[in-house]
Amino acid sequence: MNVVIKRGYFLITVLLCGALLSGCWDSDELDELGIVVAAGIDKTEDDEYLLVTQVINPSEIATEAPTTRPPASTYSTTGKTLLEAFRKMTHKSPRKMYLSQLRLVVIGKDLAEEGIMQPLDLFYRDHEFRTGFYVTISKETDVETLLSILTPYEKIPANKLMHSIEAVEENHGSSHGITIDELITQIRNKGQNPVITGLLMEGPAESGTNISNVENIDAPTKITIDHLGVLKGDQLVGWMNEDESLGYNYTQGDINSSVVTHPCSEGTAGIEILRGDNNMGVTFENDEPSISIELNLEGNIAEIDCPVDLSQADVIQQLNQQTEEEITRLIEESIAINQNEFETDIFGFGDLIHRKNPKYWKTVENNWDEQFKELVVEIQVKVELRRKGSATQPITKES
Amino acid sequence: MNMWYAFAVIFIAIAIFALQYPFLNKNGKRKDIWSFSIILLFFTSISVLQTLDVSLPNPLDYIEDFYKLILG
Amino acid sequence: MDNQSISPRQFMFLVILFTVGSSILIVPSPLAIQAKQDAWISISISVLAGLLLTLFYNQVAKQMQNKTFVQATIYAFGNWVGRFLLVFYLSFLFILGALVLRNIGDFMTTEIIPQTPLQYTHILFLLVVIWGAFLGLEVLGRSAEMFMPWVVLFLLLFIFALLSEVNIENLQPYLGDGFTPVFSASTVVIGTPFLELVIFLMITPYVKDPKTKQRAWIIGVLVGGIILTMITLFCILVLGSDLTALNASPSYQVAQRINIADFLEGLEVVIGIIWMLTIFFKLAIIYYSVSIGVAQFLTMDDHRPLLLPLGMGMIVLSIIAYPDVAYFETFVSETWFPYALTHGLILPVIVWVGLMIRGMIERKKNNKKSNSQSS
Repeated sequence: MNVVIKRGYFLITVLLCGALLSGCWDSDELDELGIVVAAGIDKTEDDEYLLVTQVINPSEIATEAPTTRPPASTYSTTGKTLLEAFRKMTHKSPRKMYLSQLRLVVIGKDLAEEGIMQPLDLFYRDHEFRTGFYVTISKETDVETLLSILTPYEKIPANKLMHSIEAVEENHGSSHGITIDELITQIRNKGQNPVITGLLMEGPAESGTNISNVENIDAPTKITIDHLGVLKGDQLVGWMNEDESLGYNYTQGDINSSVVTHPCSEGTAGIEILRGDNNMGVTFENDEPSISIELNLEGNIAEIDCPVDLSQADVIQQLNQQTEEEITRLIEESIAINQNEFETDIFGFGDLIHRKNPKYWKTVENNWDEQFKELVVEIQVKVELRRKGSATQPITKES
Repeated sequence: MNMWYAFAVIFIAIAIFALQYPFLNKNGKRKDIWSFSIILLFFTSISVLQTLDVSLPNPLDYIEDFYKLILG
Repeated sequence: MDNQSISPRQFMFLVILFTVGSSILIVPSPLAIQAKQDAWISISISVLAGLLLTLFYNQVAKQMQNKTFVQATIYAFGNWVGRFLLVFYLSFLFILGALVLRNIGDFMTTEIIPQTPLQYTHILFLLVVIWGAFLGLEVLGRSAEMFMPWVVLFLLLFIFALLSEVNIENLQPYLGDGFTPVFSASTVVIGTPFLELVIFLMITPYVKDPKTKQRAWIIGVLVGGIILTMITLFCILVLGSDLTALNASPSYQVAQRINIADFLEGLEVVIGIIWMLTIFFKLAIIYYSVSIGVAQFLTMDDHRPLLLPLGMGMIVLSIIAYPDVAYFETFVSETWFPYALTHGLILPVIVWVGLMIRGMIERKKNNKKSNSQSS
């Protein structure tokens, strides 16, 4: 009897080993995957989705002796749904598309004007996507060309774009990278509409897609991060210019570091904004809300060529005031164009009212964009310039 | 294909029986052997039906109906 | 039945792991659907309700005197009525086990291994659970002691790594829609996991030291409740109530946001590990209780022969329990709470009353006996 039991256990162990150690059902080997770093979507003429993916070329990234092959390849297909397009891509690419490393989604201008919510569903639903990628809009060029441009300095174009977006955000503040979950929250939110980064191609498309583009010291074709596109719901309604984009980012407290230039007596002063905090509040008067934006910024004098005496406290005071006026102007312009031209609340004033006074919000929720046009916004900027760098006086000033 | 799964289930059931029977027999409790065998037989037949794609009644449906009836 | 016993400390850990298991992923979303940004208030209310329930369970456990719930019910109501009540109790536990098993299968197939058939995930996971139940309560208790530090460590990592992503504004406005949705949402969490705690009435007799075990149960529920509240709070603070409601497993989604100094990313599997560990213990406790319950129901000496046959049944039930995810969502939001309430509150109340009456009858009998002896 005992021998039978022992043999039984042995048999079961062997069977279990076979089942457990043979590996994973869902295994995807690295050499069978095409790692997608950027995806572009647009509408075709027959109302299908056009999907462009930028896939990295691993042998070219890892090698120490680069060949003339490009570091990334693009594929494009069409399909009635994006998933269909993704799967049809296997007709052209030797590998299955692997999407977890996606950095960037570029949406074509036509699709953006029609509405971007529908195609985003897949990007949010499918388990392979992480939510940390940026969503951008190609401002003039079609997405296929834009994703085919080779970039100098950074081998993978998608990485270049992602880093550029982050660098602009960190150092200038005229743009703002938006990730997919922020975007979806804001589109679904009635109290705040989203903005999306624009991408712009400079130079001729033909030379940009060629490897020789990156062999020049000054690459003839480049992709630049442009200013912000304004959405109403999920539709693109217009573009802000640099000043308005800056103003928008000031209201959102998204300025980490920026530059303010303004004329002073006989020249220009460049002020470096170092840090700041912002405060948005809402007050109600006779059931009419009015918004107040308070900004407290700290900065340095970075560049100045007007003959003023920087050792005088009231000169600094004057510079403070001029900077304040300049920033107030940026914000005012930004609010004005959204109230009058785009008619969409990208600042989250509605959301603020919802947070502070949910009862009042219920009454205006459904035509908030109309109410927003009439909204009074008070702006208070306080700038304090603390230091003036290594030079005590403008070098143009005679002593 | 489903047939094979059904055979696999039956094989596993026999293996379970072969594994446990000696222990139960040693204790010599006839009632325990009966309870064990009936439970095993019951669940094995359910598993076989499931692998053969017979649609089995879902207890959750009954629970749901019951509480709908009570709570209106 | 084998004379295994665990310490109050191990019991407390088991309660914590049971409370957190499976709820950590599935609770935030239905809460946020109903209570929006006030979900954390609803879950706090549920934790309070859970503590009250535990106080009551402790009273029941006291009346049961070293008997498991199954033995005590048979003792109180006799062989036939008692067994009639127990059929419902045991089927409740069995269905709960199948649903918990389905939870892990669904999560794995949605987020990690979409092409593996559900059955295989279930079989592999249940095999480990069966092994745990085979080795018995002592081993489960000791391994709970071993894994608890890991769960705590990963939770702390989760919370600290997300502090920079927190946006307090996501919590405002407080009580924007009044109290009604907050209360109705709190029933979700009372149903899963707090009413399920009734299962520990099968475990308490095996806990040493009757004095501290009551406290251990309450502290376990409190700690587990706090962990669930923190997770819900962080989901809302990071994702906002809208995305929390939109997402099938928000805490997993939140963990994707973790980004430590731009090189430690993709830590969502951390939440996956916490989940696997806690759900393993939850399922092992359920499975152990079901098998000793059935064994005691049939007055068998050993629960072990039942483990594998019951496993076959549980796997089939977990597959046929619901045809699709939407069925589960409606079932959990509409039927589960009354179902759990019947078995987690009404049934224990009946048994509790029965035990007290029985106790009085016994005492009278004893008095008569001692009277007749003394006279």
